[in-house]
Amino acid sequence: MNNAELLSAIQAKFPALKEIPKVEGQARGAELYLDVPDAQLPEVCQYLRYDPPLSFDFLTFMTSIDWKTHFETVYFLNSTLHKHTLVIKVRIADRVKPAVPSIAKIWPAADWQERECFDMMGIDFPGHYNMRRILLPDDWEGYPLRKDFVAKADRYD
Amino acid sequence: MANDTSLPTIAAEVFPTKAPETGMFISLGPQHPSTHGVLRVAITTDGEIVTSAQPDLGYLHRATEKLAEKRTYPQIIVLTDRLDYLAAMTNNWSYCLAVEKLMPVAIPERADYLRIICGELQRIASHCVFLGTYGIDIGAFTPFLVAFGRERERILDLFEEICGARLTYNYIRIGGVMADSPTGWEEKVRKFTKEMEGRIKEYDTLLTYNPIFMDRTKGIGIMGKDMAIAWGITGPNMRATGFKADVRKDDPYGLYPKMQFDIPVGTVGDCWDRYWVRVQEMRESLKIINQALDQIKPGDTMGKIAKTFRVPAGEGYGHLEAPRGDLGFYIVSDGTPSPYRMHIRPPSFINLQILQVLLKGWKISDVIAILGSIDIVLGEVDR
Repeated sequence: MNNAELLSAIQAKFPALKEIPKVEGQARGAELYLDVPDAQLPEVCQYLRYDPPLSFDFLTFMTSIDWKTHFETVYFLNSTLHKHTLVIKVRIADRVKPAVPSIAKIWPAADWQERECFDMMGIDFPGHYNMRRILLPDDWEGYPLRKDFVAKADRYD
Repeated sequence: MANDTSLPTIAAEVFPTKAPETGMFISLGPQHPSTHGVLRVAITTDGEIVTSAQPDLGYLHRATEKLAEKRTYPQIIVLTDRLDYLAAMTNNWSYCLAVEKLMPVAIPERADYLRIICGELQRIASHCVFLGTYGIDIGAFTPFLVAFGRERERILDLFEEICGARLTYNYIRIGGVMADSPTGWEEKVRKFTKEMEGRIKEYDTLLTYNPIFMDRTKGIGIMGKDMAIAWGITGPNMRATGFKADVRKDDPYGLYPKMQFDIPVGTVGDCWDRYWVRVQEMRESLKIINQALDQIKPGDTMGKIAKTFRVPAGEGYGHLEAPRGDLGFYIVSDGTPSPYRMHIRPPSFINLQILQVLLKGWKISDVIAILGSIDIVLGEVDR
């Protein structure tokens, strides 16, 4: 399916979902970018994964961005069957306790990647079975990839 | 058996710290010769059977993504060298692809051919390391001496000649490559590819069809296609399940559409298939190098690009088929000389996740065979 067909197929089920338009003059890939509210994410992902014409069965990667005013998680999806791609972006307005529902039950590939987002950006993923730090030590303070992170001198500095 | 694609549900069970009542707790690593770096796997067993396995990472974490936010775009290429240190050429290339998505640059044809030749040589060198160290894991020492000590050295010598470094190349640059190949280099590559074809036959007699090796790897650590897709597996591990997935064909980059080559796939997805796919890939890489050597013509090696530049705002995702899978860089730019956010899609990290379910149900003596066949590099897992 091309981008327009994908969008209409998704909007047939979820009429409220909007495409993120390309900003004039900014570089971006040719994929369809979809804005999904965080509360709706598991439901939308479940549909994208198991609806036969869509069948986005492959999560290429997921990551998070700190936009200073809010956080954003990004999911690159791919269908190994139909070879189409889709990018989902979830906006998280809460900077104090950012949280997005976990999708690791739908794509196990998200298991460690969600843990990495938690580790580096401090975004919680309710529903994840094992939400702990993954790369940094368990007693590390702060979330290094946040833009307001200030590195503290440790015993090696 | 070990083909359950669902996630483990009880956290206490998946990250053991002590022995279960009727079993044993084994902490494999972080200093263990078969973990290929500093990786710890916490394993509980019931008799000889593994009941749970949980990798413990981060021993080699160097905060590449954070460092990238403070450096200019060309300076980051140096950081990418240190990710998958057995395949630094493809790391450079993948990063440059991502930047070139944001900022279109016309790449001279000769630079594209040099990229392909170096990238495929790197794939052979990386698979040579896999072949040698996997042999050692299983108990065969000789393949290490020939694959790692002889053929890989030849490739590293070729790289040293073209860019001055043996491991961290910084050769593929945004808009082209660092320098043209020295006189006579292409002839040396051609000589090497001719010899290498015979060497791969030697590996087949030494290891591939060695009955002891086959006993240790055939039918062990079976990963099905559905399981591999669900867990985001890419590269030779995915192709071993019989599924043809290769970025060079699915989302072609560089001059790959001009090249004739096959994608070798396995049948059942066991350890031997994962090994065999890599050996076949070396043959395909030789084919690609020979075609590139036939087609390459003299010319420029660097596109027209300023010494210092700003990348237009936006986002770009560039990926390629690295020796270990789909390696990608996702870059968000705000128009300043350094990226606002850079995310690396590391194939080793994502491939390693499956160990949690893949090891379950197999014997403790198979753990090393399965771990080795996934072929991870901890520099890329921990970044």
